[in-house]
Amino acid sequence: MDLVLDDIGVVYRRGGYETRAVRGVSLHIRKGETLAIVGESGSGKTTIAKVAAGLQKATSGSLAWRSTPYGAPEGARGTGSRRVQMVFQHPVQSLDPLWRIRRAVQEPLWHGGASRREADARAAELITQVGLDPSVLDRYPRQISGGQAQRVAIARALIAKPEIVILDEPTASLDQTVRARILTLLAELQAGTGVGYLMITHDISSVRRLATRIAVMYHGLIVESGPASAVLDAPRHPYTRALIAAVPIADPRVPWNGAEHVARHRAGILAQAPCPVESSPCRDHGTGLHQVGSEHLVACTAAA
Amino acid sequence: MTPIDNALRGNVAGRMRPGDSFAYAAFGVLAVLIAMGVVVPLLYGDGDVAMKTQGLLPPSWEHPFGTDRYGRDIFLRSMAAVRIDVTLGFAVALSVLVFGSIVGALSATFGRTVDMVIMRITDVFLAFPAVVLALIITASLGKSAWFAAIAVAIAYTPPMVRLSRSKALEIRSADYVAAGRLSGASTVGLAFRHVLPNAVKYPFVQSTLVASWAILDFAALSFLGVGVQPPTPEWGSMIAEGVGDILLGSWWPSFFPGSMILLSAASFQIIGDWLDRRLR
Repeated sequence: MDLVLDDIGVVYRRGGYETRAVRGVSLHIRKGETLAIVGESGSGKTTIAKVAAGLQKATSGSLAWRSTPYGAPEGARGTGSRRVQMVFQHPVQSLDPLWRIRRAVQEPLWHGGASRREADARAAELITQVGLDPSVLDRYPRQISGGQAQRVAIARALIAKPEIVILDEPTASLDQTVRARILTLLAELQAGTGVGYLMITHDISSVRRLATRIAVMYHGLIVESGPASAVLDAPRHPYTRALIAAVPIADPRVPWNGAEHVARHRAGILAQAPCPVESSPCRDHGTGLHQVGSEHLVACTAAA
Repeated sequence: MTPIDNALRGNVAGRMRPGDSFAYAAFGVLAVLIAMGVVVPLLYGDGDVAMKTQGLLPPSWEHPFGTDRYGRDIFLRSMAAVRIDVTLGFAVALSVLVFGSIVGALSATFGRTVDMVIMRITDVFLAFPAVVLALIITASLGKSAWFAAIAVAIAYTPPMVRLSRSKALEIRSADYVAAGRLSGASTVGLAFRHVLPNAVKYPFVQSTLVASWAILDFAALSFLGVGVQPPTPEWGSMIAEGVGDILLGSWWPSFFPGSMILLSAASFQIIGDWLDRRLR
């Protein structure tokens, strides 16, 4: 089953002010694939993740399961269906400090009517699958490392056989070597189970490792989306280009212009990105998505 | 380096805090007080009987705390008062803990209207210092030990509501609660499985402090004459009875009940401080 987000809008109202966090975003999360949403802080990517997980209601738009890309929607999807699970940014904080790992990993099974024996067997199976020793099950979150905690969180997300797992910056709070191992693990598990990932990140290098397709978000809008290779190697939107250019390359021979990178971030990348159309109406009002390749869409008048 | 430099280095506040040994001493003091409060009146009475002793005898082996102006043994009366004062400390702490955390949790769980109403009510109560509030409540209800106890409990409930509400709100937004929701748990299920167990330690620590404040305020109310009425032995009213005698040179009728208040209230404070560090 694929999860389809159609024209989702989210408006936060607080103290008379309205913040339009997400403005008409449509996404299609397919089983067995990884859709990565990239963008800077405040671009609305975490809000989209919460909406997709059912943790937050969208102000407008709809969410549906479809068996084929253009099939009929199969009813509204309530929370608690356990078809969508989530892996959070801070692994240790996503585990209840008072619960043993066993209980945390088994939590999604309780509401599915699994027996205790089944739950124990499944927990041991999953914990081994994520590369941990079953003895970890008897520990408390404070007794394991951040990398181990993220593996536990992945085991919890997969134990009830969900169709989609949302990865909210799954490696952001881990160090480089652990980060690489977690990404490898996620790729292996996807190959084994056919689960679909929605990965929220601002780390372009982890996108390269895992993503099948990419959606680039800026100020609540998708400015470019398409197959990972097309977006990363031939970006069409000025913002996407600036975002990819800002990624440091892990090679000591390649000089990295850190000062320029920081200046761009301070000013907001789009404002600094060279737009080929000086008097573009897009700067003020935005523009719709134009198709520039197979499944490759760009919100840029110049790229169309 | 001069010795002064060494003394100033490091975490001064941390070193000034009483350590574990202080906490064990506080537990010991409370245990001894409670034991004596139970045993001494059983063996020797509560000192209320006409003892046929002389009034205002200074402390001696026969009367460790001396006698008051009516010839009643102050030690026996102080021990008898443990049953009222320390029990009251525990009772107020427990009722404030239970009532305050439930109301706070309700306020955090249910919608904006319920929360607004509860918070505005606590605002009204928080505008008064607890002892003044308790005084107002007893003055309007009537002079009675029961009303004084209820007044003290009411006075300390609003801060507890605030505390448990804010902790519940904080924990409700934790990632493990979101994960629980995705597992299919209901709001009530989440509240009992995740939020309450993680939030309860803060009100629990607070309740030991409430116990100490309750003892102080209850004694204050009795001192002012709106709480426990003479001749029932109670530390605050005993101090009040002895005040006139201090001017005549007899310090003991007020001093010893006052020391009892200090010992029990300080013990609860030290235990609360210790729990705070242990549970954090």
